[in-house]
Amino acid sequence: MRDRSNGSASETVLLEAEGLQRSFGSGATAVRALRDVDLRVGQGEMVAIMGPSGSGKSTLLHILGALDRPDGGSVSISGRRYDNLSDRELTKLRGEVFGFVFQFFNLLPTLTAAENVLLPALVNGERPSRYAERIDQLMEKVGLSGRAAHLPTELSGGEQQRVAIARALLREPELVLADEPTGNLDSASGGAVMALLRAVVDEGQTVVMVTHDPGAAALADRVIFLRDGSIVGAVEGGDPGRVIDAFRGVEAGGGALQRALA
Amino acid sequence: MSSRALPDGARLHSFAGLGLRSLRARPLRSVLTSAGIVLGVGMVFGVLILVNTIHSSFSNLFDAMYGNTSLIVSGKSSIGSVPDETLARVRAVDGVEGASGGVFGVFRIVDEEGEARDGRNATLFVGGVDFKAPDTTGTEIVSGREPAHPREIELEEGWAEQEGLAVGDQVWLATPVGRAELRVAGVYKLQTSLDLGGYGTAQMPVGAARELTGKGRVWDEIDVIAADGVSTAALERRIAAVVGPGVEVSTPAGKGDEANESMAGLDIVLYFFSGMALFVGAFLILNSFNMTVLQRIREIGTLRALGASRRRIAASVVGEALILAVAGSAIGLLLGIGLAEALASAMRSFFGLPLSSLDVTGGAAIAAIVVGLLATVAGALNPALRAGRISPIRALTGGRGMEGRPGRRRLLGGLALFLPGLAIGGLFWFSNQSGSVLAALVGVGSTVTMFVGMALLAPFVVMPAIRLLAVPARAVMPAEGRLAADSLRANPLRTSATAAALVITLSVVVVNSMMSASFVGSISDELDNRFARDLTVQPAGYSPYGPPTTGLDDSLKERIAALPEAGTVTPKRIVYMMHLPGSDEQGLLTAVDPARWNRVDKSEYEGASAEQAMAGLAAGGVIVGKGYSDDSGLGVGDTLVLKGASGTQRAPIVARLDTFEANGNEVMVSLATMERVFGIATDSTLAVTATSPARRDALETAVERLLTDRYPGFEAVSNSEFKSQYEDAVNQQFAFFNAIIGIAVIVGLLGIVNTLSMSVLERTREIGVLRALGGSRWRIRRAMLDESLMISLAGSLVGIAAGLLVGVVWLLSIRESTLVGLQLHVPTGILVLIAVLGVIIGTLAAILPARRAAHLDPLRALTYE
Repeated sequence: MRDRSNGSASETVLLEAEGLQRSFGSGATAVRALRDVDLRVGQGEMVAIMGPSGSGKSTLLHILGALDRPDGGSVSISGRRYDNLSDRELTKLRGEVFGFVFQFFNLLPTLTAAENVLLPALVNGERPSRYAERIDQLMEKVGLSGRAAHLPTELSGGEQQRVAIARALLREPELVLADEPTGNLDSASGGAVMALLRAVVDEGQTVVMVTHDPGAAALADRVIFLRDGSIVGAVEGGDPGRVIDAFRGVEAGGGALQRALA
Repeated sequence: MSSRALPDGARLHSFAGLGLRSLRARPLRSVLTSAGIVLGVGMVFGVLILVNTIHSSFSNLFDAMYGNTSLIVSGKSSIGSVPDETLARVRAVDGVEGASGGVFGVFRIVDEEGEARDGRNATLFVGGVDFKAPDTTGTEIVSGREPAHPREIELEEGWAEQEGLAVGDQVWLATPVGRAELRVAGVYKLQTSLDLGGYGTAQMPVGAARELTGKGRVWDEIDVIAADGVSTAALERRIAAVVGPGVEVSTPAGKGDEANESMAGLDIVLYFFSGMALFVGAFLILNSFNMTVLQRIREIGTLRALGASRRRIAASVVGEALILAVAGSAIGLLLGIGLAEALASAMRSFFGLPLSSLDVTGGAAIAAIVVGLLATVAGALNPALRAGRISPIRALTGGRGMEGRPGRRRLLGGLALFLPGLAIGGLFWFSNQSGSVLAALVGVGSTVTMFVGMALLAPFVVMPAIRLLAVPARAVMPAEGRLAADSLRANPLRTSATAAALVITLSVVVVNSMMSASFVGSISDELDNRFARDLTVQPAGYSPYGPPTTGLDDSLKERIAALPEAGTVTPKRIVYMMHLPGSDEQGLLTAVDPARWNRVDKSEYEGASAEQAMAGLAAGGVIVGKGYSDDSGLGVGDTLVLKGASGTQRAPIVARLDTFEANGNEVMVSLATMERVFGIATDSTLAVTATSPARRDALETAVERLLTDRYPGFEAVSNSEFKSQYEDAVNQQFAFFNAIIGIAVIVGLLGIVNTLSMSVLERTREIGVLRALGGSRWRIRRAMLDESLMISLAGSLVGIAAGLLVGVVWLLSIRESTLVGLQLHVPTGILVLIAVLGVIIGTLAAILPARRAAHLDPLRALTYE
C-alpha cells in the first residue's frame, strides 16, 4: 500500500512531500485540512488526486504548487525544499518550476490566445521574441493553429482549456499542476483535454492533477485518494471501473474502502 | 531562434502592455476615471495660469506706467494724499533730475446724452500728467500730438483702437463736477507693450485733471527721475528724509511687488479650491481601481500563480492609473486654458482687476501635470497594494474579495484628522483679512486634513443615511427599492467612498454659502438698524472694496441740499487702507461730519452715547470698529496716533462701533481730522434724508433728475437697493469660489456614474435573474435609478449636514475671536438647491448604467461568470 502511494522506487523522484500539515483558523473552529501527508511523484509520472469535498485535495495542490505554505512537514522538487521559502522566493519558483491549469481556464479576457500562452514569459520579464517559434509549436500541439489571434470569448470551453495547457507548458516547467481541468467542460471537450494532457505526459512531462472525474483520473498513472486530510489509499490508473469503485469506497469510508482497494 | 519580434497572434511586447489592454477593454470606466484627472489637472492648470496672469499683469502694469521713473513718492495710506508742497521739496533734493506731480481718476464713460455704459470697458483710467516736466512714463505719441488744452486728452493706442476712437473724436466722461467733454488730441503707446484686458488708460494735462478729480491741493503721487550716475537707493533715502511721515518712497519694481504681495493670500485660496477638484479626482481613481481590483481577483491570482511578484502586480495597477493620468493631463491642459480664460474674465468683472491676456507658462503646465500624477499615484496606491496582497490561491478559488466593513481604527483616524481642522480651520479662512501666506497655508493645510478625515468618517454616516433612505424607497417599490438598497449595503466602503466625493465637495459649497449668508445677513441687519437716511448718492457701482472710482464734488452736495425735498445732506469719506492706523489689518478709514451724522445714522456705540461719540469726534477723537478694537487690543480711553501725509495727530478713542463692515476693521474720524491728517477732502458718498417721510419719493425723483441732467455716472440708491448692492458684491466673491468648486462637484458626479456602471457589471447575473423572472426593462432601470439616487441623496444630505457642522463651528469660533455679535444665517435656499442638485446628479449618473443594465440579454446575463 505505502509503496504504491509513493510511486515506484525505480523511477527518479521529482516531487517529494513528507509529513505535510496544514490547518485553517484557530481554537475550537480550527480545521485540519492536511494531516501528515506523504507523497512522492516520479519524473514523467501523472498523478491524480481524488477525494470528496473538504478532503484537503485543493490544499495539497496549493502547497505542491508553491501557492501556499504548509504548517509542518517538508516539500521539495528536484531536491530543492520550498516549504519554508519567503513569498518572494515562492513567486520566483512558481514562475520557473511550475505550470498551472485551472478549472475556469483563467485566461485573461483582453488577451488573444497566443498572448495568453505568452503570459508566463511576460510575467517573468522575458522578451516575447524568444517564444515566437515555441508558441507556434504549442498552438499546433494543442490543436489550435490558426486561432492564435482569437480572444478567449471567441473560443469554446475546451479550446480555452487547451490554450491554458499551452500556457502551462510554455517555459518547460518541471511540474504541471492541474485543478479540475475538466470540471467546467462537457464530456467530449473534457476527453480531448485529458487526451492532450496524457500526450504531454507521454512526452516526459510530470503532471499532478486534482479531479472529481473518475474517467479523467483513470488516465493518470496513479490515483491517490484523500479523506479528512489524509491519504487513505491509491490505485494504479488505466481502468476507469477500478477508479470509480475506489472513489465510491473512499466516499463511503470504512470497510467499503478496504474492499474497493483490495 | 526566430527573427520575429512577436509570436503570431500576439501584439503584446511586455507585461506593461497588459495595463493598456485592460483599460481599452473597459472604455467607459477608463474615460470616467481619467475625466477626474482631466478636470483636476485642468482646474489646477487654470488657476496656475490665472495666478501667473494676475501677477504678470501687475508687473507689466508697473513696468509700462513707469517707463522712465526711478522713484515714486506716494501716500502710505491711500492715493490722493501727498501734500501739494511735497513736490517742491522733492525737486530740491540733490540728484533729482526731474519730478512731476500726478493725479489719477477713474471715470465712467458716458455718451452724448450722459448715459453710462456697463461692463468692463465702461471706465477710463485717466492720469494727469505734467507735459512740461521731464517725461516719467516714457510714452510715445503715435498719432496727433500731446494734449495742450485743458479739454484735451490722449488715449492709449490699444484701447483707442478697440473703441474705434481717433484723433479729433470726442469722449465724454462722468466726473464729480459733471459731464466733461474732451477732445482726443493724440494717441500714444507705452514704452513696453501692455495688455490690460480691455481696460482703457488715458492722459491729460495735470491741471485739468486735478480739477476733474477734485484733487486741487494734493497729488496722488510724485514721479522722480534720478540724475545720471545717482544711485537710486541713495536718492530714495534722501527723498524719504524730506517728505512727511504719511508719505513713502519706493521704486516702480517695489510698487509692483507690493501689489503682488497683497494678492498672495488670494493665490493660496485659489490653489486650495483648485486642489479640491484634484482631491476628488484622486478619490475617483481610488474608488475605481479598488473596484477593478476586486473584480479581477481571479485574474490577479492567476498572474501571481504564473510567477508575477507582488511588486509587479502593484506596479501594474499604478501603471494603469498613470496611463489614464498622462492621457487625462494632456486634455486637462487644454481645458485649463479655457478655465483660466473663464476665471480671468470673471475676475475682471467681479473684482475689477485689469488682467491682461493669459500668461501661459511651461512651468505651470509641468506643475499641473506633476501634481496630477502625484494625485493619481496617491489615489492608486491603496488599490495597488491591495492587488499585490492578493494570494495566488485566488487563481483557483476566485471569488469576490470581501470588502471590509469600516473598523474602529478608521473611525479614530478619521476623527483625529477631522476634529483639529474643524476646530481651527475657520480662524484662518475668515478672520485674518491681511491674507498672509502663512495663515493661508495653515488654513489650507488644516482644511485638507479635515477633508481627509471627513472621507474616512464618511462610511459611518453615509450607511445609516442610506438605510434611512431605503425605507421610503422600499415602501414605494418593494422589489427594486430592496434591490438597490441591498446592493449598496453589500459594499459599504465603496458606496461611502462614492458618496464621500459628493459629501466633501457639497459641504464646501455649504460652508462657503453659510459664511456668505452670515456675513451678508449680519450686514443687512446692521444696515436695517443703522440707516436713518432715505437715499445714498454715490458714483455708479461704488464699493469701498471695488476698483477706485471718483469722489463727489461739493457742487453736487450743495445742489442736493438746495432741493426743497432734502432735509439733511451729509457726506462720508471712505478710504480702504492696507494698514489701518495702529494696526496691521486692512480696513476702512472713514470720516463723517460729527454735527450731522447722527441724523442719518443710528449706529450703536459702546463706551459712549451717540451724542458723546460725535462730540468726541468733533474734538479730534476716533471711533473704532469692534473688530479693529479686538484685534489691536485698543479700546475706549486708549490713544491712537494718526500719521498721515499732511500731519500727525494723537487721537483718543472715544467709542467702539458695532459694525461688520470690513469685519469691523474700521477707524472713524471727523471730516476735519481726515483732511488735516490725511489730506483727503473728497466725499465718497452722500447720505440724504427727506424733509418728511411723505416726501421721500419726491426727493428720490428730484435727486435722480439732478444726477441725470448734470452728474452722469452717479446714482441715488434707496436703502433696500444699497443693501442688495452690498449683498451682490459679497455674494459675487463667494460665487466665484463656488464656481471653482463646481468642477469638483462634476468629478464627484463622474464617480457615481463609475460606481454604478461597475455595479451593473458585477450584478449582471442578478439582473439576468430579475429579467428572467419577468422583470421589465423599465423595472431594471428603476432599480438602477434608485441606487443612484440613494447614493447621491445620501451624499448630498450628509454633505449638507457636514457643511452645516463645519460652518456653525467655524462661524462660532469666528464670532468668539473676531466678529462678536455675528449672526448665524443658514442659507436655506442653497441647502434646498443642493438637495435638488443631489437628485439631479443621481438621475444623470443613472442614465448610462441604467441603459446598460436594461439592455442586458437575460440569457447571457444568467450565464455570466
